[in-house]
Amino acid sequence: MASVAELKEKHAAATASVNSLRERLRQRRETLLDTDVARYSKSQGRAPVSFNPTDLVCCRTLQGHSGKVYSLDWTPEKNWIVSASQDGRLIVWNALTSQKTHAIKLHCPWVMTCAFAPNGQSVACGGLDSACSIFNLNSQADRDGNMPVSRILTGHKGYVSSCQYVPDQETRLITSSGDQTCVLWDVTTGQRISIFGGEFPSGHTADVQSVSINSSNTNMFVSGSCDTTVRLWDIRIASRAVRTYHGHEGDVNSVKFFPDGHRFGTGSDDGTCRLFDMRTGHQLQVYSREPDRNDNELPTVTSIAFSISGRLLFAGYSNGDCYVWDTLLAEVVLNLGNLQNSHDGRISCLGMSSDGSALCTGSWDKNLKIWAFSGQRKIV
Amino acid sequence: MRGQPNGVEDRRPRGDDHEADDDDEDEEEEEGRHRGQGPPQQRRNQAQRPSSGPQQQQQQPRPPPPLTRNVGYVGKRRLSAAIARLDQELQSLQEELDELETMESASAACQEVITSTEGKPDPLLPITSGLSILFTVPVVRRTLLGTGGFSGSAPAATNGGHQKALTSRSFCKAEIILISCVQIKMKPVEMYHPLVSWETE
Repeated sequence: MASVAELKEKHAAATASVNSLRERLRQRRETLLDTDVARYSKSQGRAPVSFNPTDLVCCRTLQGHSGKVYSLDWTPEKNWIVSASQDGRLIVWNALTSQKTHAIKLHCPWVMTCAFAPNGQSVACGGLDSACSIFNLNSQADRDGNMPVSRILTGHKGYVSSCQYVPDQETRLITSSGDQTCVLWDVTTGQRISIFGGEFPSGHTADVQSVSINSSNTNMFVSGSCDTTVRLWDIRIASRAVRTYHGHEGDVNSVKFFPDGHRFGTGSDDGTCRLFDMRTGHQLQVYSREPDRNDNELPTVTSIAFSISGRLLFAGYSNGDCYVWDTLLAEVVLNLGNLQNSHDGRISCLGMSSDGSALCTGSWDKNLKIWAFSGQRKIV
Repeated sequence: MRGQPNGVEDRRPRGDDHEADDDDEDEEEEEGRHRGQGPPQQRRNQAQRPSSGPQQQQQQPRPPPPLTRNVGYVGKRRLSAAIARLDQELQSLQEELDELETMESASAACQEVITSTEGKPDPLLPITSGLSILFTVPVVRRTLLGTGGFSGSAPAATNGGHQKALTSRSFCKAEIILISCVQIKMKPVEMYHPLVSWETE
């Protein structure tokens, strides 16, 4: 084996080569970015979406948590929502009636994420216990009135930041973690099917904060990380990421596939949202808010969601704003945070109902709110 | 009170909020871990060897042998692994660069974004399309308002793998409508009638 000095020299040379190649890549990509979505849309004569002040209203406030709401998820059917809170509970809500159907006290109260199974019969959650717990909503409560855990998925070496069931597969779940990996689980056996990242060279190099599975092609998912990148994975090939997307200048807190399944959006600590093309890797658009007049630090983006057509991008911010971006024109067309009955704290999570008719927001003010269109709609 | 002060960011895992939340304030990040800097470096404290005279030297225990050989082996292994990772990264970066030689520019993708958003009904938009709606519901439901509708089964159709449904329980002021699983090209009929209003509580 070569000496330490020789290896160090080799390491330095390899590092220099990587940095040089990265710079060449960056420059080459810049030449291919001949336009962005907003400039292109304007050149095609597109006008921004125009909302009247009362077009989107808060039509439900779901009250019941006694701590900050950290995560929420809709069922694909039935319009139920599951939410996770600092109070150490999951609550399942009938969003239409605002009724709580389940209140699940968790063994580990430090929960960070939750998700509904595709059939709406189970919920998953995870957090600082580094595990993902599965609850069957049809289970009988024990003597203390607590719902039993039906499965605990253990194996992560860091906190579980995000979880999502593979669409139309009750038995497959993907988690992201502070241990810099994502994992595909078999929920029935509790086994890890695949680990994405970690020891492999193309994995994330910092905590992974969010995952989004492509509903058009459920073999593909993206993960967003504190290493400022987003990575695309094929669940059939865990050994390396398919592509790495650069652009953000801060932790990527939220990733979400665009409805067409060929693009995805991101939200970051750098205060911007971005739209990337999955296949080419091009950064198609940056959604940047105006700097604060008082020169305060830019609020960070905590979570994002697209409307069912993709024309609207909802972005929750750390200062309580919830901007509605026109995805095509990159303009803010509404701020739900300024509307009547808006949240009193940071928006921590967002979710669109499966039929696209309502947006649910969760906040550090302990509430969830549902927003829907209330104006006169024109059909063309 | 709206929002949190912008000046104080909480970048630690959200679980840290559980620890000190009495005043509802964001906390300063203490570790660089979640900025992608990795866990904090462990400090190695090296004890100072006390100075001693000849007599004291005879009484002091012999210091342990230096660990240079083991530390060097671990260092070589880690360095070799790091070099292997860099070599693999070099390879994938080169592959990506080669790919970019023939890749189309961003404008092609921008056109696809426009195309994919338009013509798709969106209940949250003030102006939306009602034409050429493709459904992928595996069952047929009957319209409840007798506006005519669709009956009988139809072959399932897919829309890029999506299975979405405009359910009979919509949050907007909407007519309860029927869905079938055929591709429908409709005349510009109004899909949404302000018949069932979503009354604010």
